[in-house]
Amino acid sequence: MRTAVIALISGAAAGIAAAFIALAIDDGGTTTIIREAPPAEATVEPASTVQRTAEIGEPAPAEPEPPPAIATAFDPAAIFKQIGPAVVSIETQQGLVSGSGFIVDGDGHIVTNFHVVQGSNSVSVVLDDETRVSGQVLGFDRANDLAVVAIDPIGVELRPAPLGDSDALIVGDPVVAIGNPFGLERTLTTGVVSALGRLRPPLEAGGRPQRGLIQTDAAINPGNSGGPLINAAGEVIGVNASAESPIDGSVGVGFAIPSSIVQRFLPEMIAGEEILHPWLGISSVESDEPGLLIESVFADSPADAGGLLPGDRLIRANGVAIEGFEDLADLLDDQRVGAVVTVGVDRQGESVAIEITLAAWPG
Amino acid sequence: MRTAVISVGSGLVAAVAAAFIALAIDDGGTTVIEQAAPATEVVADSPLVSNTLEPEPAATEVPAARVDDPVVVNAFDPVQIFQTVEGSVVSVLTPEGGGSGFFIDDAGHVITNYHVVQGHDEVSIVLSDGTSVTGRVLGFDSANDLAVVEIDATGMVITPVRLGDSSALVVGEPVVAIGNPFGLERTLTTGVVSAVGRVRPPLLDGGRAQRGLIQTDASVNPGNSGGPLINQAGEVIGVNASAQSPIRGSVGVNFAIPIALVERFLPDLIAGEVIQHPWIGIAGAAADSEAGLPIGDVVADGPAAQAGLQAGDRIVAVAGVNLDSFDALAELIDQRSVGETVPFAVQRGAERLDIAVTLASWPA
Repeated sequence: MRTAVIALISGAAAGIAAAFIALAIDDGGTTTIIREAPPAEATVEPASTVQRTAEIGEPAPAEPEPPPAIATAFDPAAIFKQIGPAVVSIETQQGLVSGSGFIVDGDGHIVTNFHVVQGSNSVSVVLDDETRVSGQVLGFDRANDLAVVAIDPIGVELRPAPLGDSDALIVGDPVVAIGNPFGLERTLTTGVVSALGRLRPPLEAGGRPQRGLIQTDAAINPGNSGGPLINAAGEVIGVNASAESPIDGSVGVGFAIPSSIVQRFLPEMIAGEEILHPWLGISSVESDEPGLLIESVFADSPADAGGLLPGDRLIRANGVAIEGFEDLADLLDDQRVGAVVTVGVDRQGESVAIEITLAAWPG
Repeated sequence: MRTAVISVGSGLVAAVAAAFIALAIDDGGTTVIEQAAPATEVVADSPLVSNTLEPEPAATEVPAARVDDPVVVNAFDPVQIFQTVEGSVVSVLTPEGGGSGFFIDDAGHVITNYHVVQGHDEVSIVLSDGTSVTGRVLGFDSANDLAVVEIDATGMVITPVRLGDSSALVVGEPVVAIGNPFGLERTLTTGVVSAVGRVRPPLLDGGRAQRGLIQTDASVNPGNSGGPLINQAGEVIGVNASAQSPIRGSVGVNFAIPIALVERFLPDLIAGEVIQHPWIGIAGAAADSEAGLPIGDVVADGPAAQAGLQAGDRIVAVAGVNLDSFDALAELIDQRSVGETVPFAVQRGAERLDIAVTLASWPA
């Protein structure tokens, strides 16, 4: 059996769906033996990710603060009443639900997944009261699978959903997902945070891997894409986006983009920008020896232009010791495209310092 | 991507399983779901099974709070619910496979899905103590996917379930399902009410759409069919029946028939009747901005056609009630009886017509 990363768009347009649903169908018997999930992509180019609190040169952020002594009661019915009106259906073709989204402010801005609106400049948005309005795709972040859609707020009652602090999540926190699985609008499902900080393969081959994802066992199915994952306080802490499954449906292993990433890039996306992420252009392997062993250097990449070579062992970057893939990814994540990063490498025993001007991820 | 509406019969025997899997596979890639209707099934408000039938077993921590008793909020205690209800749940077995069911009274009447017993006069009922007895299929309602099976209760002490108020459900409230998924008898699964008032495609081509269904993320798999969906007060509020899934298994999008429908038709089902539902034989056209509901198509020789309704007519009022959707029309018709005559006020071009339609039953 093979497993597939499916993007959770409902199959509104099969032609488009094929672009981001990597499906492997198990034609075996009735008992599905789930294999171990593939290990995180250790050999993949380090990705820049979003960790809002990570500062260059600082140690990794401490453990998330423990929850308040008095746990918030988990009341999905109350959460649904509060947040349900913020959830919308998004249709890229009239009448065909493509995914979900949620209103984030009183100005008519809606957060959804990039893969829900990919290829469209305008979409149809169906609001809580079944009003259908036209939405314009503003900015997007292809790598993080986020997009912002704007609707005209005049004459529409908007009930935006508050964003919560995804950095404060702990495994086991109860969560609620609201969305449109299989087009069943405003479906509520429940579960817990199964894991945090998940690394997932890129949506597009050669793209930037997704990092920092929230894993949940709340049922997340095709059509849930772009809908909110909500904590017990009724705050959106994630954007449901994908799932690990041998089928095109939930087996209890769904993934959401943390709200911290949304918060970081929301102003630029609202401003209509395409979010670009810094790219180095190497693939590396971790080993017992210090640093990251560079396996290959992409032609014409920033690393190539700067003179990095396969076999180099990357020891430091901007003065920070690099002990693993995550260290480099975290560091890059706080840089901007065009920034210059100084890396120290061990080249066959010799210390070499190289300056690299970061480019944007191709694609 | 294709999605399938699967009915939740146990696939014990795969070859014949197809008989009760209503596979409305939509190969267009998208299941265009009709707008959910508000859960407004008007129910005959006379539950046959009174709450007093069951002596509150160990009436301890969990008081049987009704929804109309807002002061008492029950903690959700699946252990307590299971211990209370488990003895009322049975397996319903046929040569092809089977499903689940539950005792609705102490006279030996078992509620299950029609698709579980479809094509059989007799089935095997396996009680909670493992005893297998013969059950006789009495009445059924193929459109609502309900059936009543009777066992000989002589000398037995049967504890029926208590019934809750399915019209009072709210999205997000916790629920429990008990049934026999994949033949694993008396399995307990938990979840919440994901939505109410769902409209689902008919089990049979050309049949009557299912309306007012409860959607839940509690795992409901083949074999759960006919088993109870239970609220946190331990009351049955639905009959697990079907699922939306690309596979023959739960992806967390499952449907149950509201118990209000069971209560409404229970006397007729126990009396051995085949429940008929009123039919007018029209298809709606897409709504537009003009007044009235536009008729898209009229079924040849159907009640509407015989009365003289035509495609293109706009239904303005039915029985004096102004309607704003075909859902509202369906609900109104659903409250009438086969054979009844219902006045339609329609607009045909510039003309206003009053047409009396005599309701027939849905064609089989």
